[in-house]
Amino acid sequence: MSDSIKIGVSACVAGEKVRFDHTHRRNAYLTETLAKHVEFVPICPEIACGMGIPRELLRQVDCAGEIRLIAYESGKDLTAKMTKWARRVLKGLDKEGICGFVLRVHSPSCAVSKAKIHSTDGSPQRLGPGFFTRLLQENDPLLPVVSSEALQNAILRENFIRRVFVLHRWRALTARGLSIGNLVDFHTRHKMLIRAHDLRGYRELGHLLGESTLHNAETIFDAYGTLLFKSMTLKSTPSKNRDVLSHAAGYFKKDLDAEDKRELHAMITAYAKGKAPLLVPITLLNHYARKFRRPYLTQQYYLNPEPAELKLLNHV
Amino acid sequence: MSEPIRERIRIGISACLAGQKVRYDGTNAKAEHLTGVLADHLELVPVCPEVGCGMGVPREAVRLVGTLEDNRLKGRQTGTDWTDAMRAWAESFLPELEKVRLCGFIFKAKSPSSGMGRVKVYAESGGQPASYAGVGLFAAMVMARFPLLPVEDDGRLHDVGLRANFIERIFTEHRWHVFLENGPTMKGLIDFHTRHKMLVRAHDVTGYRELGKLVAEGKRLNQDDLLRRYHERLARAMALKSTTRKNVDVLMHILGYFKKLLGPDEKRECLELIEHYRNGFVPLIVPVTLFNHFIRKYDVSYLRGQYYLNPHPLDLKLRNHA
Repeated sequence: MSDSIKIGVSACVAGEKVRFDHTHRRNAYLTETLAKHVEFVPICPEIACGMGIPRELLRQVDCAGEIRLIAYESGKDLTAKMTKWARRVLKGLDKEGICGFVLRVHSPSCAVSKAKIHSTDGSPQRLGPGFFTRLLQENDPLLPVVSSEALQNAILRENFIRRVFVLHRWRALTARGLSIGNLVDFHTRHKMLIRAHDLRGYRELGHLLGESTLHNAETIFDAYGTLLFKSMTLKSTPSKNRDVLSHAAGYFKKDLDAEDKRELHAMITAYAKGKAPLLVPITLLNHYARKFRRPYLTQQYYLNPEPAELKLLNHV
Repeated sequence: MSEPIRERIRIGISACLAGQKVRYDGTNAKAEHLTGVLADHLELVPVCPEVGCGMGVPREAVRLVGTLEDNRLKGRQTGTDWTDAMRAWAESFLPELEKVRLCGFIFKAKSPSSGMGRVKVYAESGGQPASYAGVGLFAAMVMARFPLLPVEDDGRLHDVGLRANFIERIFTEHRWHVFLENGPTMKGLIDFHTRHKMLVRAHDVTGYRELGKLVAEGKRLNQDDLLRRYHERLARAMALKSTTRKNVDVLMHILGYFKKLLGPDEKRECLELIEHYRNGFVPLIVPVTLFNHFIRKYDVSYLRGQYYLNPHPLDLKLRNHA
């Protein structure tokens, strides 16, 4: 696997004029910031399965429980064509090792969750994932997906970036073979990060590792991966972060004097109240982890993300 | 005599931005980014020159007509000329405004009365605007009367850098007002200058040196003259934007004060964080947080007084973006 991180993007949000009306929906954050740190694999499922530009609009129709992709006016059914194409391209994406996908909001093929699904009996339409997105997620349930629109939101953006980098590290881990020892190292370095997203998941993952033996590595890896990305999908909040920070502060109980402790806790409180960014208490914790030599803390991805990750997390 | 300066910092704002329904069509243009957290720390003084000079709400929209250098404020359809009415009103209103001792002004972008630049100017003959570089009639009068006043418009304040710069200028202007209010002395000026050194340096290194020289020669100058020159140079320096490079320069300078206090690993850590900041990996708040910790720990009183390290309330979030 190469070192650069690859992510799939809907071609229209990457700025290509591939929409039905020959326009694009370029997302500035995507093309100006994210593009500097990851490699894009742009895909337009509608073009790829043989439709031209300009073209007829598509819509998803729920035909007795089976969702079909149908052209708006002519009523042409593209379900089989798109499915066949998608199966082939998804194999290719697996080979590329993409670690995330940025998708076009509301699109009948690419939406994350807000594509309209029409009914045949006139009952109101409901919302669901786009046709291609559904196949994408069935193919790789761990893959982080996000709409380009959601990237404008600081919390959702941070969540996506974190998941992309965790998946990248996960892929590197599994590529080295299924060693429980390596998995325990992986888990140790991600502990604070997982905890900041999902306390219960963090505990379950710990129990899961406790059940590992010499013979069930494959089962453990499968269960760990599924649970890990389910946990990471939850948003980290100020109260979860405060919990993690206070926990980390506990490692210096015997090293800090009363004044130091007061300063550290004042910073954590200021963060929890929205008066200071998370980086403020983290800077001080990093300083203490280094000063008092706490390798468990200095290795935490939560406190010390990878360089590209760090830059993306802090950049708007 | 002017009223005493309050704790709260007063800044003027176009009334429509503050949420008053005073626009020509009876709407407002409330700007959440100006009336939210920012307003918690400031006292906004809303001003609408169009309502002030008697145009009423709702009213005919006005525009600047003429050339870039010589234009008049006229009704869009009727051509009613409001120039003299607004000038006369402003002449009587501006002295009132002076008494309030504003520390800044936020104008409504592109307004023919309150835009501080980039206002459309139409030719007498009509058609497309002859210039897009006009200045609103009232805004021009405010800026001429208070040339040192920090001014911005709502559009420019969306930019993180310009916003940070403007807020630093407002707070500095306010501290200057407080300094004058408390009876300025030479000792007081030296103290003021000392505490602003790093902040000024982060905006304008030349200005920082010139201000130092001015204070050093201060005793030989007439005091009023000295204060006037100091304030003018300070305002000019603060109007320059602080940049990553200038901030790195200041951070390295601060690190120098810890030469004998920090161990080699602590120094290395500081240098790494400064390098991270230089390369855009972390925002300015990161190295500043560590320095503030060392200042408390080692009780470096000179640095503790620096406004650069604690410039304004943290929740304005000015230093949180890399």
